Amino acid sequence: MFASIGIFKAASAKASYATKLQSLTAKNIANSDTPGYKAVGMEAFNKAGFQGNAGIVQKTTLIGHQVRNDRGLEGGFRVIETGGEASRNGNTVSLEEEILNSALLKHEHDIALSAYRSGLTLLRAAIGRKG
Amino acid sequence: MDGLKESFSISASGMRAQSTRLRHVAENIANTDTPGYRRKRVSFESEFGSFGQVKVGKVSLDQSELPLVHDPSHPLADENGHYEGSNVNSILEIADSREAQRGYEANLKMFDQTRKMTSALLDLLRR
Repeated sequence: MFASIGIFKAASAKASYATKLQSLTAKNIANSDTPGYKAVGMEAFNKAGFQGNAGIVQKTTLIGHQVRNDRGLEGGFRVIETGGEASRNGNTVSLEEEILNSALLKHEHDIALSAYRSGLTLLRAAIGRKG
Repeated sequence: MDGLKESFSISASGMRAQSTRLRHVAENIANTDTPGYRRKRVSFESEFGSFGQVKVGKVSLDQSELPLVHDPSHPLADENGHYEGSNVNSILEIADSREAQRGYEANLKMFDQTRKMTSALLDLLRR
């Protein structure tokens, strides 16, 4: 039932995006010394095409258009290679970049959960229950 | 929630790998003066079939030449007064230990952040 209400759908999509990105960031940091490892990330949330009541919609690209460095879809979001210059052992992870990204995504996650909570509060008020 | 559970085990594997690396650095430093000691090297690799965990690969010995130390009074000295030292370079080992520490702290930070996100999620149920 909650999935049909706009605010819950949007908030949970955003929170879900943040948790998947967190797991990719953790993977990058764990493999920051692995030779030949390429850093991964995801496309920006709005690029993935979240559209209100329609939920997550994949933006269609031109037929035959090859998305560069595409590593496949993970739960509706596209995983891409995001590494910079490779170090001598072929590793492309930058620790500073990853830590910064994780701070940003934590912020987005908090915002999404706050939106979800305020939706719940409104719902409770609507059915006449306090708090 | 699946993504967050994975993050815990990925970060834990990272911490484990970095602390194993630090252990080998400590072994090398402790054996800087051991005659005939070759320094240990470890390389990380992605664990096969997992979702991104890292593990320490095989430990290999650095095959570069052992330096000859001149000390005629040493019990192992040959007729010229030389014996084989170890190929441990203290500066290199200290630099390696710093990197291991940095890696460990970054993984710990990720672990902590994952924990905070899980806890915020469960907090929704509380009100």
